[in-house]
Amino acid sequence: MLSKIKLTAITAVAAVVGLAVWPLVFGEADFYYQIFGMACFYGVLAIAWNIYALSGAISLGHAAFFGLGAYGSALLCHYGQWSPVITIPLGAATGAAFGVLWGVFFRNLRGVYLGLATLASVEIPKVIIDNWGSVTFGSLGIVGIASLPDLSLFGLEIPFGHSLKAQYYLLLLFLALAGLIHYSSLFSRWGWALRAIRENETAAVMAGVDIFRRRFEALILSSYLTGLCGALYAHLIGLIEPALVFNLHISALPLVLSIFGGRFALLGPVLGALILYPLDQLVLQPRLPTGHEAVYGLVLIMTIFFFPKGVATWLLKPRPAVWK
Amino acid sequence: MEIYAQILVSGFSLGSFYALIALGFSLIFGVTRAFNLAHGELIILSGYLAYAFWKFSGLSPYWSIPVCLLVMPGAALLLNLLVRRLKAPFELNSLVVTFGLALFLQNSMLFLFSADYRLIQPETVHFFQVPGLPVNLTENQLMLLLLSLAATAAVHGVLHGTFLGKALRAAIQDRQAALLAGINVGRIGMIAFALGGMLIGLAGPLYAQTMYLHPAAGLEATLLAIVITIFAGVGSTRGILAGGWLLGVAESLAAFVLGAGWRELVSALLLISLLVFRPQGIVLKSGT
Amino acid sequence: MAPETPACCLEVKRVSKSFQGRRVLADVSLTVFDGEILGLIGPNGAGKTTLFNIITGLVRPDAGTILFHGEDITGWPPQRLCHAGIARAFQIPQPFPEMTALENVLISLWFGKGPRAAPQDAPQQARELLELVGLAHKEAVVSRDLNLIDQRRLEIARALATRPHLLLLDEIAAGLSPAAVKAAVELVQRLRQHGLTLFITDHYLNLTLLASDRVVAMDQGQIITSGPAREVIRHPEVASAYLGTREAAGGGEAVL
Ligand SMILES: Nc1ncnc2c1ncn2[C@@H]1O[C@H](COP(=O)(O)OP(=O)(O)OP(=O)(O)O)[C@@H](O)[C@H]1O
Ligand SMILES: [Mg+2]
Repeated sequence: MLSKIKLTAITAVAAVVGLAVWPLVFGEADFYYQIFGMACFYGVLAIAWNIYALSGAISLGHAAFFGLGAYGSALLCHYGQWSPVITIPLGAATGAAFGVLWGVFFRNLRGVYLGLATLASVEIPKVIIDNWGSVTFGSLGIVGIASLPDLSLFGLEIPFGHSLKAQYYLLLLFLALAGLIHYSSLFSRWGWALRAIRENETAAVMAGVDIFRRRFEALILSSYLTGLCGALYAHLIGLIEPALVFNLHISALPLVLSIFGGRFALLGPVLGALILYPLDQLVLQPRLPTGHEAVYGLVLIMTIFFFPKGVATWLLKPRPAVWK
Repeated sequence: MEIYAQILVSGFSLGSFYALIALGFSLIFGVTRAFNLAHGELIILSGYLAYAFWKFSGLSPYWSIPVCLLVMPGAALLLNLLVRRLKAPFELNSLVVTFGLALFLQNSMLFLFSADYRLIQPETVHFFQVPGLPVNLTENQLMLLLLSLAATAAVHGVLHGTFLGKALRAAIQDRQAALLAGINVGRIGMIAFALGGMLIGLAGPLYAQTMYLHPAAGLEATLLAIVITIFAGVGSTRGILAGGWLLGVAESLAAFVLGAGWRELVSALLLISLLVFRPQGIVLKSGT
Repeated sequence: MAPETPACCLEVKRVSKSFQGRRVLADVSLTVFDGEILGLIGPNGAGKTTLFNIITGLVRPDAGTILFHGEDITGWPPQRLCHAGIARAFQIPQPFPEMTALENVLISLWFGKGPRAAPQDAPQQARELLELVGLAHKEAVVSRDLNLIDQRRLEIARALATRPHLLLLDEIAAGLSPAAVKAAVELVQRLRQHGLTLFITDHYLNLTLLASDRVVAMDQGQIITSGPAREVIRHPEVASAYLGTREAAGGGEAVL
């Protein structure tokens, strides 16, 4: 008999293969490359948010990491004239640095109070960047950010800069890697430490789990990954401004996707992204050009009331058996 | 020197309005323990309602106040229905659900009213001289001050002068004990939402005449309300007024000294500091 | 002290603690010797749980030091104390509510004091511990669904899984039937034979009197007396402390 964890793994691999193969079958479809590419992108963002949530912390302020990652990379690229290949991982570190600040200052906050503090903390980088125009270009934002460079690999040209298809595959790869990180955040020894902290902090610390350290690690991983998303976003879209990247939606989206998909399931956050984002973009956006994102609010409310464990629990049981 | 007097007076006028914003949040949170993150969005919604009424009716903007006072308690009662069905952990779930509601309202307002900045602007601006001070107040600032103070005084009167107020205060101080004392906590929660809705209703038209309406403007109002509530402790009308004034003056000063762009940072930084350095949080304080 | 006195396991030296200006522990000193079963008795609110909280690092003392095998461990964080070999079963059970009984024990095996169980051996070891406390047949039950007695058993199994030298048991006999108390006494004595040092509290005295080698009595944050169980309960202050609170509490139920 298949153990549940194997079933989950097989589903995951099948999903990745499916996502990788459909363009070969359906041919050129830029519109769909873009939408499913962004769905993968938001899947990574949801995973990043969820890694911190697995330690029991509901963040309402991940836009801070996203925006800092975006600005970090864009400004490094602008002032340093470096390739995005270097500035993206470096810029993302700006997000992680802010994560360190959270870790230090919000060390003793839990639950609602942590949620409020994270929500308010987004204002700090946002207002600073808004007002420090001489360096950050202020509220007008940065335009014309260098796009991703084309890659030539074994004589093969991969035009990441302008081909939506290439970008789609890049984002799919990014999602697969994030999925592996999510896997170990759930099922490794480290993952079990996070789960122990989430379920009962006192019991965890008495069982020998270093709760502050493990939670801090989860936060840094989460903030760096979110920073990476922000940095990548800056170079994919080519334009950023404070109101855009420090937007409440950026904080809300991964939360909605993860909770809707299922926070404790390996595929939960990804499932949330792959269902909701295309639904939003393909069905709602054409009918309601402004305000279609209201659906994420509605979905969040419905999820909390009707299936608080998320849709993934319907498809796959969340409890993995790690021993025979 | 004159300029500082001016800052102080406009800070007080703004601060009284902030107290009004916080009062509704504090009442609802105090009685029901529901964290309403959509508080600011509801105020903005009420503001848009006032704006629309003013635009289409052509009447004085003050006529929109009774309309909002009637409509917003209805919205708050709907929210009460939603929140009452939440399971444990109640506070965190109410936070997440109202976060969803805030998202929903923001986008609905974006759809209905577009992203343009809107303000109820009277055709002529009257100035009033403050007696004994070299300071002028606009009619709007004066109304803001008077109506906010009147509303705060009314809430204080209800809380301390009526039987209903006694029940409300009992529920704020200790739900369990209130329950044991035979108070219908569910009913009291409903009343708190209704009263909170009226305060939201009043705040909307005043907001629309004071600050620019924008679909995303609610978050700032929510943060303001939470900062003041934490500062004051739940259920303390005097504390809320003091907190509102302090914040109003601090923001006016920050805007004057650092520039208007830094004003938004004041409430966020204050909220974080209060949370971090006052770890017992909101719940313990209940000195009315 | 006589030269044949066994080595000190835990030494509590002049520990004091106040909560909001109220003295809960006043100058408490006591010693737990290696290999003994020491009982700590005292009426409701005497400060027993608070003392355990201080020993396990969950609460910081206002004054005083704590030595474990001669080393100053005051102010160490709880996980470090766990790795040093101090474990505890809580008065109010603290399980991981969504995990099964087996998973609960596995967490302690993985993160407790070494030697780290090899991944494939851990479940077997966990089962043995569940067997020892009499919970083997419920290993797959999610712990929030266990009844109170079983949660206490689980609590002990989890504490043991961290491989401690010193085990603190807080009121594990409260509310047990006489037969269950007898089983608990046997369990405690069996644990000692495995080389553990035990420090147990009890406010109804039944477990302590039957199982301990030595008893320390406490009231209102102060040590009244210590010695063999029979002598301690005859001590006039102990009797009055108990009678006093018994009357005040109306002989109340076990406080959990
Ligand atoms: N965190 C705390 N804050 C305030 N007071 C506390 C705290 N912890 C304990 N106390 C108080 O300290 C006193 C001692 O409590 P403690 O739990 O240590 O007693 P105990 O001897 O374990 O009692 P019991 O037999 O009921 O378990 C009690 O009056 C209690 O109210
Ligand atoms: Mg106790």
